[in-house]
Amino acid sequence: MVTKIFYVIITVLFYFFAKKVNRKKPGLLFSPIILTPVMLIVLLLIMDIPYKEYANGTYPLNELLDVVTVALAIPLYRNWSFLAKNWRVIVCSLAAGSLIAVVSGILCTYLLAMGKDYMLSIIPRIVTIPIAVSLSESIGGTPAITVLFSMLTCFVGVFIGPAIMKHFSIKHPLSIGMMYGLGAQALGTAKAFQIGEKEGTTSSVSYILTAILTVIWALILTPFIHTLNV
Amino acid sequence: MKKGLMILFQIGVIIVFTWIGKYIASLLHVPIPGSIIGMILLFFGLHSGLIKLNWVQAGAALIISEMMLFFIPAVVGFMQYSWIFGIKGLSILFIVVSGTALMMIATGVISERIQERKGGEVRRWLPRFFM
Repeated sequence: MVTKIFYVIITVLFYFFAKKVNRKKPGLLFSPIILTPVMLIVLLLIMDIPYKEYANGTYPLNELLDVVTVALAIPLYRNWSFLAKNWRVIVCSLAAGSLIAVVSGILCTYLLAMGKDYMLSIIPRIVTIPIAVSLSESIGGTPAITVLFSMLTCFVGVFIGPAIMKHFSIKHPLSIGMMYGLGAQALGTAKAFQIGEKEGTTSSVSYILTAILTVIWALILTPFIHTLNV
Repeated sequence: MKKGLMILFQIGVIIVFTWIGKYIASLLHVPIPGSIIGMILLFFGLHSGLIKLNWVQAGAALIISEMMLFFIPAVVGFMQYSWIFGIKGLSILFIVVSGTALMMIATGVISERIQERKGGEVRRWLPRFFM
């Protein structure tokens, strides 16, 4: 019991420490989402603690992630008219984006000859993790690989977001929110809320909508993969 | 002190909605996470006026602004995949980076163009569907 609380406390302490460091040294590598896990991994390796034990101890933090998802109803409620006014743009852009995500994933794994298992497991990667796991199972992929792909995608999405905004001069809150929501789901939403409330809310709506759209694309496209001989 | 208690109470209200959502999800047997159901319920609660915005607003603002913290245990999970630093990891990284860039650019650019055209002269270029 005591060690369980210890894991939570150490995580929270490291997080606030990382935030403090980040204020002095702004930069990708010093962002709390990189710095905190790196410090924790080093600590766990030094103290020879298996990840399972740490994960069990920090279970309450994981539970709070669900509470945050529920709390997103508040910005959603406050920005409802903004979203409702633009629903066509949102649906069109996300349908295109999620189709590209699914197709590019299938093509890349096919061209690199990574096998059918990877081809199926990569499809749900832009779906928020709890839904991605069940989608991966139902289309015949491996949930563990899907989770890995999803987490990497979130990470990459958050880090390339600013560069894309700059090079393609994407300025509208709606576009920024959708980009983060589609590319980096909940993690992207956290980032988008740092930019603004409109961006954040659009992002949270986008990742839910992306999940629905991806399920549809996946159900359409997986029969083709099953017929491939790889 | 009083403010702290109020925020705790507000987070408590949101937690209750999370539990209700999870309970409904366990009854329904559909692959919709309970948290999404809870969010929809809270949204309708606010929309119908059953829940007042200032009962939950401050608590929600606090946990949303510290959202990154709750991701950390999951990210530490990367330590289980040490093979990611090998050749296979490199090809996975290549797939993820290229794919993510492509889809984010597509989404952002499509939406941005639609926004531009809405306000500009080229409006008639687009079917009425977008208006």
